[in-house]
Amino acid sequence: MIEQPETGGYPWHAPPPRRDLLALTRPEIQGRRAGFVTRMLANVVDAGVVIGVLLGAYTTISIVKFLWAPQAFHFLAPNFAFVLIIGGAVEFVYLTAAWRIWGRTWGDQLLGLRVISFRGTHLRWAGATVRAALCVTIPIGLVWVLVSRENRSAQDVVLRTSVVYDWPRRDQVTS
Amino acid sequence: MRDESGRSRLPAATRTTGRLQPRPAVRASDLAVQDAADAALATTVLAMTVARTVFRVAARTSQEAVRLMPVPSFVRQRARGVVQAARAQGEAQRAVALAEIGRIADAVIPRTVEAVLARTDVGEVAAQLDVDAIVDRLDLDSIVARVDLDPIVARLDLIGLARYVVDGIDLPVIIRSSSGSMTTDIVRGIRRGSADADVAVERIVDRLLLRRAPRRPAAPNRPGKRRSDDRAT
Repeated sequence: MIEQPETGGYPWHAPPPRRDLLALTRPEIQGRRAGFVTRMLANVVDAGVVIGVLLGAYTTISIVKFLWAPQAFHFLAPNFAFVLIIGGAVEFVYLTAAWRIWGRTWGDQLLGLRVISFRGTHLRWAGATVRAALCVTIPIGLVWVLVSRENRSAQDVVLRTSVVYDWPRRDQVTS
Repeated sequence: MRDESGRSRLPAATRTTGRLQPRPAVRASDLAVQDAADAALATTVLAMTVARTVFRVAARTSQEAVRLMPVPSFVRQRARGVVQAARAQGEAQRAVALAEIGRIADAVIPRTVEAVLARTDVGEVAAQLDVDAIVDRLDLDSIVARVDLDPIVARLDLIGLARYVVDGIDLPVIIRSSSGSMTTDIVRGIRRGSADADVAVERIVDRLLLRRAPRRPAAPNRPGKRRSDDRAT
C-alpha cells in the first residue's frame, strides 16, 4: 500500500500560501501627511484628467461643428491663454467637487491620498472651493511641502488642511 | 436453480439478503429418519472399509503365493490372461460405476445445494464477514496498476465533463478577479514607491537645511467622521 503523507506528496491538500499583506499596505504611514513626490504625482494624474476632459470637449465640439456645417468645417485653433483659462476652470470644478464629495481626486485615489480639514473630516464646500482656487492659481505652493516640517503646502498652511496617506480600506490587513 | 418459467426455485429466505428468516420446526419423525440414515451410512462405510482391507490382504497374499509356487509356464500364462481379462472387466465396471455415480451426483447435488441454500441466510453470512480485513489484505495499488485506463477514458465524455467543470468554477469570474488583483498590485507598488520617495526627499531636504529635529507629519484623524464613499482600488 502507498503511504500517503499528510501534505508532502499532495500539495493541494495544504492550505494556500498567505500573501504578506502587511508588507503591501504599509500601515505605519496611514494617516501621515504625504510628501512632495506623492502629491506631485497625484497632481500630474489630475492634470492628465483635465487634459483628457479638454480633449474630449474639443473632439465633441469638432464633431458637432462638422455635422452642423460640413462644407465650412475647419478645426478650432484656440489660443494658449484661452486653453489655459478653460483648463483652469475645469480643474477648479473638478478639484472642488472631488474634494467635497469623495475627499480625493482620481490622482489622490491612485496614489492613496485624502484631503482633510483641520478636524480630520472632508472639506466643506467653502473650504473645497477656496482650496481648489488656490491650487489652480498658485500651483507653486505645493513646493512648500519640501520645507514644511509638517509636510504642508502653502494652501494647507493657509486653510489648515492636510493631505494624508489613506489607502483604501480593502487593501488593509483585516486579521 | 430456475424452472422453465425463469423464476427462482429457491425459497424467499435465500433470495432475500440481510434479514434472518425463521426456519420451520423439526418434527420427531424427521429425527428418526435422520438417525436411521446415519446408522445406515455408518454401516455401509464400515463394510466398505473392511472389504477393502480384506481385498488388499488377499490380493497381496495371492500374488506372493503365485510368485513363489513352482508353476509351469503355460499355467502362468493362462493365469496372466485370466488376470488381464479380469482387470479389463474391472476397468469397464469401474467406468460404468463412475458414470453412474456422476449421473447420480448430477441429480442429487443440485437438489442438495438448493436445500442447503434454502436453509442458509446469505445476509447473515455476509454480515459475519470482516470486509475491512479482507480489503486490508488486498494490494489495491497493484490491482489498480494493472487496470488499463485508456478504454475507460475513451468511453468518457471528456468535452462534456470539461464544460461541466468550467461552468462549475465560473471561469469568467476568476479571470476578472485575477486581472483585478494584478491592477491592485500595480497600484500598491506605485503607492509604496512614492511613499518611499517621499521619505527619501524629506531626508535630503532636512539634511540640506541642517535640521536635526524630525518632521511632524501626523495629521488630525477622526475616522468616524469620514464619509463611507471610498472607491477602493
